[in-house]
Amino acid sequence: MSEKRSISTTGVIIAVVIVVAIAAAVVVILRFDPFGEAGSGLGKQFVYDDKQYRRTDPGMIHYKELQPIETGLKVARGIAVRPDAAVYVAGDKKIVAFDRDGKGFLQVSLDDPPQCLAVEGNGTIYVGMIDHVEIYSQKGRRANRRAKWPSLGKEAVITSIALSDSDVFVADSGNSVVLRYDKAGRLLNRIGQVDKSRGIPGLLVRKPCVDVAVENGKVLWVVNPGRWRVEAYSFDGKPKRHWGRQSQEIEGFCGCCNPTAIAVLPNGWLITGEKGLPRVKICDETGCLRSVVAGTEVFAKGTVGLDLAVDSRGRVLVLDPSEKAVRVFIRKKDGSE
Amino acid sequence: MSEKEKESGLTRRDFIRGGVRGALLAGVGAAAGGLLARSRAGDTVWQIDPEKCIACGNCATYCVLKPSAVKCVHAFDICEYCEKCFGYFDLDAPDVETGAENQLCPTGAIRRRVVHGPQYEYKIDEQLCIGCGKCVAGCGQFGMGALFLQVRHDLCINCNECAIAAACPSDAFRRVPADQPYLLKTKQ
Repeated sequence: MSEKRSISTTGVIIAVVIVVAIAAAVVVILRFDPFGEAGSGLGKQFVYDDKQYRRTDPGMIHYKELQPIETGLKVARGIAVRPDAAVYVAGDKKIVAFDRDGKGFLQVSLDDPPQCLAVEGNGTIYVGMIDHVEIYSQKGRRANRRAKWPSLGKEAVITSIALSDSDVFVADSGNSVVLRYDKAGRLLNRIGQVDKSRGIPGLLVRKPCVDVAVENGKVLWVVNPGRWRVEAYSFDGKPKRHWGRQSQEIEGFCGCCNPTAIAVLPNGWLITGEKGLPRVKICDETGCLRSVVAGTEVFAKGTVGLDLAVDSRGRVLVLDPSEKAVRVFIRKKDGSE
Repeated sequence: MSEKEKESGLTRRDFIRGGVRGALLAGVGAAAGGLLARSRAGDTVWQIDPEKCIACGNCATYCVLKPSAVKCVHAFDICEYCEKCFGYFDLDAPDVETGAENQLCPTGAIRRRVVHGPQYEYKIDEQLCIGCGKCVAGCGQFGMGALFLQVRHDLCINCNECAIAAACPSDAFRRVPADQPYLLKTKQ
């Protein structure tokens, strides 16, 4: 009788051990993660989290997106628009142009990759190469020897061109300066260089992304990305005003250097484009945020190099290098500022 | 000597002696083979391709070493010495003060010092770095990507099957020649 009880006790112990072993094996198998599918397992403080800045208040977004213009380029760098709403895009080793309906009508082959461009009303194209400017007729021909301006030197990185009736403004990010030329290519003056007597701190450029835009043919707007602001100058280089501040919030310019692109609306308000948290927004003449054109959520993560233009119909054209397309935004009918 | 031994001409002693010799030869062969195999494995080492790395954090926890043999390194060549470096400062940092509450690195492994004007140098303290990649993500998003992760070969024991490589979601781990063990970023 006692032998029987002893056997049954031993059997129970063995059964318990087996069950515990199987349970332990199941736990080990479930927890074993050789392919990292469960993630790092690090605490929240070790994880880089920018989610809260990737959402935009829908009430701030006053624009809606239309059908984009596919550029067909592998690398898209710069955009410009003509008064008749024709869109020009620089990239790869060419310029491509589309009419107001998005139909391609011109292609200009270049010897080297272009960085940026500007277009006159008559269709003359000013192309910023890495260290010099080239000029092409409306048919895409480089007409004469004046059509290739001299190199700005080894350090030059031309990132933007803007036009007034008689002037050509060339942003040289490599040398942290904006050069003002007449249409014949004669250098008139330099803008944005350090000048304490005039209260100019100088352009602080970390990545080559200085952009320029002309407001109503009278004022030159220059991006000063390292100081997170935009600066207005008279054409002779006299500072007029500036605004902007660093902030991840939508009201400020995010990251270490922003904005990277600007365009001017007919009423003098500025459209700005940023990197890091790619977003496009509109601020009034005092820098007060008035509207978001496109929030961070509409761009692919890691998008850099947005370029901006506004056409005569009020469409905001955003060159998106990640999509290799011109994304078109128009103001919603019920959008209020 | 037994009759059988007489017939075969092989004594038990000869048999044992021969067996020991054979075992010794086999042992020497195995040791030589092992050394050869090890030297072949030593021709390459594990490294992270910084262009593929997504700074997921797995390097910090999947390495068999604690702390991990993966550390953040800094390519000064491409750094822009930003005043507000997002590899150093937390996204929510209200200003550019170096207090711990403003720092991004959870282990305080990045040192900041002024170079001149609004330019600052950032250095990694590898004793404190655990390879989580948080700073790599911040620098990559807003800056030049000058901070990136590398396997440090003064620490790595060069496992045949690297646990981090198996767990890497972006396939950024690969074997590289041992005489060129780092995949560094340079100015292009």
